[in-house]
Amino acid sequence: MSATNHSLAAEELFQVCDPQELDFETTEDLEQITSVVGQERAVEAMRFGLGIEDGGYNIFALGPSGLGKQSIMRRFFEEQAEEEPEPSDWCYVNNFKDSKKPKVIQLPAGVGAEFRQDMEELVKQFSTAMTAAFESEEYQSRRQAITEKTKEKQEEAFRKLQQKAKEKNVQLVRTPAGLVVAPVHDDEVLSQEELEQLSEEEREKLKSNVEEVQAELQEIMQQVPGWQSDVQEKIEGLNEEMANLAIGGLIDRLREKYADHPDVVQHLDNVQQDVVENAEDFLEGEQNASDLMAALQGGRGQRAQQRKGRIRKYKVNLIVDNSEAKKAPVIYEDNPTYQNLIGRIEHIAQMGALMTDFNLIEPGALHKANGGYLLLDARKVLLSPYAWDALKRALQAGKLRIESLRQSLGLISTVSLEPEPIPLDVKIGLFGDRLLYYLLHQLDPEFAELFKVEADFEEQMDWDSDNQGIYARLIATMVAENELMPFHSEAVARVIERSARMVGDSEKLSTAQKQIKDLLSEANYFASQSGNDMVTADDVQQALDARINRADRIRDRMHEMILRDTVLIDTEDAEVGQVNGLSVIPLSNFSFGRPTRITARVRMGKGEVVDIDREVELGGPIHSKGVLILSGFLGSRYAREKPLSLSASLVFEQSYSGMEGDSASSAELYALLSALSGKPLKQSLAVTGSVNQHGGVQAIGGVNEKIEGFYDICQARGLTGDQGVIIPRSNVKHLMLRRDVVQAVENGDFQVYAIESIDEGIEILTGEPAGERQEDGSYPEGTVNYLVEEALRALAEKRAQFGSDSNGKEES
Amino acid sequence: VNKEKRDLDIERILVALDASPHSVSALQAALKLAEQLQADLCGLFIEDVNIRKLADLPFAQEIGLFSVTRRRLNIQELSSQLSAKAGEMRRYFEITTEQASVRCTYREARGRVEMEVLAAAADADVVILGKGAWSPVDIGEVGPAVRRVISDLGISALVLQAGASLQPPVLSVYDGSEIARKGLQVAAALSGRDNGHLTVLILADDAREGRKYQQRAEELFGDSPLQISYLLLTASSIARLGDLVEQGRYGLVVIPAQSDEFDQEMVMGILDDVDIPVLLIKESANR
Repeated sequence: MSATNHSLAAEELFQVCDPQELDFETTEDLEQITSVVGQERAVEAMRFGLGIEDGGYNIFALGPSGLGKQSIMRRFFEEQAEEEPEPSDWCYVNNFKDSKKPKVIQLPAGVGAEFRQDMEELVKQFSTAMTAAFESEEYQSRRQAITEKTKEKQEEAFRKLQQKAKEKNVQLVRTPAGLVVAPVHDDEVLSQEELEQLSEEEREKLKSNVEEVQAELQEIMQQVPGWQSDVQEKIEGLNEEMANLAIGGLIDRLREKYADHPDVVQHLDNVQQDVVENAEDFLEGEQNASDLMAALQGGRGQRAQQRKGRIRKYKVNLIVDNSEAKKAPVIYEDNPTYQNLIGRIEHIAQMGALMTDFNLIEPGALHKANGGYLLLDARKVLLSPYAWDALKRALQAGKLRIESLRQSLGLISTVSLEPEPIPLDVKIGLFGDRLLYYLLHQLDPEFAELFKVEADFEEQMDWDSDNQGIYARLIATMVAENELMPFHSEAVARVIERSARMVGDSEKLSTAQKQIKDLLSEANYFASQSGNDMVTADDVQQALDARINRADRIRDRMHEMILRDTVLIDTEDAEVGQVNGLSVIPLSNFSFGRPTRITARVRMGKGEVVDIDREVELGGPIHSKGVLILSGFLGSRYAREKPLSLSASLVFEQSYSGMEGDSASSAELYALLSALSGKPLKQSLAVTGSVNQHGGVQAIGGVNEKIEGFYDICQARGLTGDQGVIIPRSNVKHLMLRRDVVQAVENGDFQVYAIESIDEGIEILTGEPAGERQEDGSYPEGTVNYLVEEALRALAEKRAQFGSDSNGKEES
Repeated sequence: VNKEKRDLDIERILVALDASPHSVSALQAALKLAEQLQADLCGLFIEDVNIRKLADLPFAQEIGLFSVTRRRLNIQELSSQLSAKAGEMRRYFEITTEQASVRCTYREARGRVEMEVLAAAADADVVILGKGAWSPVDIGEVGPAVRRVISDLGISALVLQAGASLQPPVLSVYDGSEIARKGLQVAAALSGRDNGHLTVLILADDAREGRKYQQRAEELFGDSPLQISYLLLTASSIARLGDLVEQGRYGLVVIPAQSDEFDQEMVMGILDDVDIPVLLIKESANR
């Protein structure tokens, strides 16, 4: 079997997108695409999710970032929202029975704003009407009549008492805490000495007088609270009457206007009752400005605050205003914290304390999206403390209850509110990567109940002639939407080729719209830098090269180490038990391949293949699995009827970090076979591919990067024409190699071999026939397989001999 | 201001305080007046000597203002309460005069109220008193202590009750006397600089004399920017003065207290009857 049979032609290494097939000159000639491209499954899921109205049919769009999950879902939500009516307005108003539990009022869209405005006007009119009423001559006269009457009664009582006291040579004296009746002479209280100088009779007389006046004083003082209470009661009655007269008409007008909204009418009743009950609050002048203690405590500031408080409680807090809305809302909350989702209750500092009321209730995204759609990034929701639980709680209850997080966790004792919950009717669209979706599904039992629709986004789509046309239109749409210069058909073809390379498949195209859009923008930039009015294929290539150039510093350093023979990689001659394996190093947006020397050594043993990287825990489990398969292959092929008596060690030379994957298992096997057979392997070739127990070579990932990685080293050292890479045949369809690699292959300077079995590979690597088992069960003499089998037989015999010698010695 | 100050001869204002609401109003009015006339303000808190004597009396009992129960007076407790009251007033004086543009001083005294006020008034041009200060109960009349102060005081006094403030419009009584002329000058100064309104109540035996007095008053005011209106009250109707004041909704009444038309009893009657501040003008004995 000749190596030439496995050598791939240049056209097999790259799927060209022929601009001629695109059938347009520039993207301006193309009709923009309105449908979603390459996401039929996800689109169907979203249609289903949007169509079904039962609870729990919220949508989770899953897939890697860059597929346009958010924008596509938003588009579907917007389309659906267009067909749905604008939702209600929601207002919070004061609960006059319990201000800690504000009441909620639902009103048709637009009526909320009107109601708020009406209430503001009403409150303004209240002040005017109440002031007019309470400052009116009528009120003042009636009030004065009430107070004066009592005041006169009180003053008269004290006046008479003072007169009586004077007649009895005693006087009332005011102490800080009360009143004392004391004997006086010439308006001066008698001292104890002066009292003692009086006769017994005079003293007794004075004492009797003091007691008499004192008893009378006490009696009057006991009546004072009753008088004041009577006055207060009468004033309250008067205030109520005046307040009703002042505001009744104003409120009646609103009652009539909102007759169709019973909650509003009920609220207006409550407002009227409260204003009437607290009519005294509107009387600015009634505060005793000369009260020393009030003045010392800043009484004026307090009254100003009280006045503000009076007005605040009649306001309307319109938390959801849909007056401008024409359709159901579609909200995206980019910072879905607990409070941004379910709303918050703010506090204000007042006289050194934190205070709140219903006016400080702030809506969350769920309020704004109520009656419509809410888009959320699942990862962000999960990263925000308590946001996920709050979202689930709201969806499960179908109610939106605003609760301070600090309050619910018992972290704060400041007075807060318990607003009446709002019925919730919202469709949630979460988006996130697949791992997140499956973890939630597995670990959160409520998740499956609440997010019953999974919209699984594809990373790739088939590259056929139909899809190629659609893809070109998709590019044209992106160009137009992003206001880029038109793309020439050759540039579009280059983008399509790049799309295939992005998914590492010559038969597929990437659906990662974000990355394609970035490429378009970058190509547009280079075109504009060149002064072009159209983006060409060269601009696209320049963008691609520039992107690689920005990201390939580490690749350059690694290749440099190889070229300077710091890392030992041979690209010529042949060596026994040594082969060039290939690995891929993924960086942020850039992956590259690099060759690694793999060596094998064999000796007599108990049939074990030791992977040194595994022993030191540098190799991952899949890598170890690949190595263990080698033992299975060796045993089944070469030692079916005798013990596998070798001990082999395999190592990735100069590997200092962890590795994973089984793509080097075929290379390891070649090294082993070479070590056993003694046949040297060509160092001008590098190998990739996993192997199964039957010796079949299987597909691996990153085939393009691996080939390019080895090519770069060979090209730097000088291409000889012998150099090349052996890949699994099943990877041929994934080939979308760089143009320079394809060109080298076309020129015969570099080779890519596609194989299906280990035998094909070993023949290419050794230049010797592998050898097929003959009818007698043996391999043809001189073939690689024959030499391997012979070497294993020899090891088995030596081991058997060594064993019997040992036993004999032991017996002797 | 300096000219006004010179003309009015008011350089030092004494406000007598007792920590009652009457004193709070008195202090506010005193500060306003002092700033208007750029006069020094002296606050004098007087603790009535009678109060401490009560504790020594064998049968004196205090009736609590709120509890209305009787209890024996304890001198230590009483002292603490009196100190607290004095402290309260001191703090209030400090707060009130903190931003004042005139020099303000404060002192405390203990003794008979009229004696202490009269002694302090020796250095003052005007004394300001709360109508019901040092009164045992507020019955809307001038308290006994204030009544005694006014009787013996040789200088002008402003008397106002709790809750009242010093504000225009001003009514000034003019009976042609020199002291009434001084009253007009003070009233003009307190009526505001521009477009202020001053009512001059001419008190005369008849209309002819009234016109003469009005002419004198007009000469006195000259080209003053004030809006001045004149009312005539014959001397025989002087008892109606209180009603006139009440009906006119004035902010301040200025009365020439040493005039022949006003004896002590009449002055006290007016003070008892009216609820607005009354400035009693007397020829300063200290000048």
